[in-house]
Amino acid sequence: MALAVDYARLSRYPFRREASEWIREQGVSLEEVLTKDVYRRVVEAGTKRVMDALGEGGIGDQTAHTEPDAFVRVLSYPVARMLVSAVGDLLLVRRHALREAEEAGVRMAGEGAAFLLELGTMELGLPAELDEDGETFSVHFSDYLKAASAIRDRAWKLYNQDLHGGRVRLAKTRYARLLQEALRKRIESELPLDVNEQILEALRPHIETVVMGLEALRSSIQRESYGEFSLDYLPPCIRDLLDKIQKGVNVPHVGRFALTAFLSHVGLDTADVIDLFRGSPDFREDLATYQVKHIMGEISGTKYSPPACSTMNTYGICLRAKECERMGHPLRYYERMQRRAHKERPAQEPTEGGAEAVATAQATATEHAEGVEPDGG
Amino acid sequence: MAADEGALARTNRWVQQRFSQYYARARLDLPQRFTKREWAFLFFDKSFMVRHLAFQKRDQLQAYLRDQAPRHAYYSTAFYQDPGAHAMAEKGWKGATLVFDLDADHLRGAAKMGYAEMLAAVKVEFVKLVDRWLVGKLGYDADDVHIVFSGGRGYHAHIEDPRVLELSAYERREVVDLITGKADVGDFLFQQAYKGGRRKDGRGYAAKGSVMPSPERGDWKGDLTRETLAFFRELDAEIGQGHRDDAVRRFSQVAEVPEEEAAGFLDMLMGADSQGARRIDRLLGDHRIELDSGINDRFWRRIHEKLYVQMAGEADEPVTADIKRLIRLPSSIHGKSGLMAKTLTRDELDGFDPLRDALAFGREPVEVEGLADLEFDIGGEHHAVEAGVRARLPEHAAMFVCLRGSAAIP
Repeated sequence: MALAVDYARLSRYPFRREASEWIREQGVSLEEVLTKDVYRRVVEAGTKRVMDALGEGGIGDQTAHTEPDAFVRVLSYPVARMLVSAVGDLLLVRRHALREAEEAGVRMAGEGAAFLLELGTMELGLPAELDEDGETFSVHFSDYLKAASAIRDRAWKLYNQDLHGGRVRLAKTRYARLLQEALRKRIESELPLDVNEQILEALRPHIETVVMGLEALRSSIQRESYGEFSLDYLPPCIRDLLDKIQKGVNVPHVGRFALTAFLSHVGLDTADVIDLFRGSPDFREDLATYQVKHIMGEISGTKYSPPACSTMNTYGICLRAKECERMGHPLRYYERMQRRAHKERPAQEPTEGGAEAVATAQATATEHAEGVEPDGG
Repeated sequence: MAADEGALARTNRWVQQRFSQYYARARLDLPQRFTKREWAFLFFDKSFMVRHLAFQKRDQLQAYLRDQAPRHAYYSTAFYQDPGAHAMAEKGWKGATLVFDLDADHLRGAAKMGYAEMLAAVKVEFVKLVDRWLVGKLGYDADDVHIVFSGGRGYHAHIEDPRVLELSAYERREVVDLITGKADVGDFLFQQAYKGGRRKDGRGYAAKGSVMPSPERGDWKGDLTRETLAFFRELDAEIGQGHRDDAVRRFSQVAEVPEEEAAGFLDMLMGADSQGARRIDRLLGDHRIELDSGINDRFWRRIHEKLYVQMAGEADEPVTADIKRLIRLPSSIHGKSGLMAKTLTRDELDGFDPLRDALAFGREPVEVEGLADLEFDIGGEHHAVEAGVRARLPEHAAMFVCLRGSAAIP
């Protein structure tokens, strides 16, 4: 006797092994789906999935209740992955990963503990244990950090967690949120996949659609993110560093680094930054030029991103200003001030450009220290 | 008095020869995956660091140390695909040991301490780091924390748990922020008013106090409540045993108020109120913070901030957060002290005295000539050198003064 297939679950979590096994049982290969006209609806659903990820609303509820509907929805996921891979653009990969994870996250929040444990342990590399109360999860602090470090809210900082004996205790909704992050990271790390010529050819018209949507998104991000530079938008920490440099107060290396990387990131070029430093009484053009060029990547080829608030705090150059609460990144403050000044739209989540920038900043914030100072004690 | 060229050369020759002899016999304490680490050295006769080296065999490293007699020997906390590659980008980072470093310069007042005193103070802080944070909070067995005396002014703790090796710099910084207490204690109190209500005319009136977060909580708020309760329990006990002056002194330091004021507060706290109940019992029993009697929230916040700082551990932030750091090789000699960087178990740490237990050299007498006046303790003995005066010292003491530049081989 065949077991009843849970179409809702298959379609909500198409990244699970169970979903790919089910597809295999349907006896259709991905190549067939992409190349045969009878599966046109599936390919169109896959394209829509990618295009919706580029839009504001996200991919929306994918729940299917019947077998034919599940067939289209579940298969639209690998099709979308192929399409994203065929375009092969980093912004697209991130957007797709973010939106797929967000949608799964909405569904996960409504799941029971047993299913979440299975997801975390079997699929997403975030194993947990369930307390006797049946609703509190605990995860190892290293797994917690890997999943939570991209969430900028202070409430997710490790020092704000219920932590003992190496395990962070979490309510179910928070565990579900972590699983969402783990899924986002997993999708990002898996893509792009290799795409062969035949698939590329079959997808060509859809690739064009996606590229157009992607370019539209990209130009709107650039328009929104860093327009005209203004000193008025600078967050307190950066303004303080700049004031000190201009007054000739000694600013430690990390401060100069943070300031230069920040100014560079919001659109100033080497000459602009050096001009701002010129007020400093100990200004030396050659030295300043070298330092600025180095940080801006003109010398080594590595362009450094400005540090996040947590890093600024660690280095003791965060002013912990009231108006910065929950910003998480000095760039976010700049974006907000800029948006407020333009009155284009009310304050809301940072633009994609900002979020991307923040993610990169995390990855590279400390690379300037590459093991040159030994610790011998 | 400056040493002449000849004396400097003789001293360097002697030191290098003794280092070389040490390394010829030393049982090297190699890190896990040592073939995947980058190695780096500083020398007596070179002004630059030799780095980007890789060793495939223990013998090769031992021969290098014996032949080159470096002043300092380091390896990378990171392990790489190709540790010998000359550009960092080409090495292929695979992971890094999670390292905590605690050095005497992180301690308040260290500048005024002598070497032995400084080593003792840093050990107290390091024990707290290991016991309270690495074992208590992060859940490691003491055996999984690889403890190393640095040979200089501090200690290192290495963790090789496979789960932490791939943590990013950002994620490691979160661990340091946890240990060093980066939370803002501003919202510790005033979560839950225990008084307040409505007057007859319907208007509400403000609460006059607050309840501390539950000591059952596992986050820093629960920790701080427990710390606060323990502090007041100790003060109460101290007073009960007739040591009121000690309690007043301690309390005035924590609350940063004059002793007179501290005494007044403690009397109020330990004394009975109009109903005959002691306020301290409400504090210890219900975790109530009462804000009448002229004690305001700023006063309490100061106490909590101080206790939070005391609770926090010390660890050098950039070291832990740097995933490509170089760190001293345990079992190598520290080139500024002549002491050994020494691996210790947690149990050994308790009785460990670096100036007795980390000597790399013996008692063979060596004649030195002082270049400066210096008094110091090493190997359980007090020694002194005077500028321009020759003295015979046990080898470990001679090495110590020569490496510090306070004496030379005549």
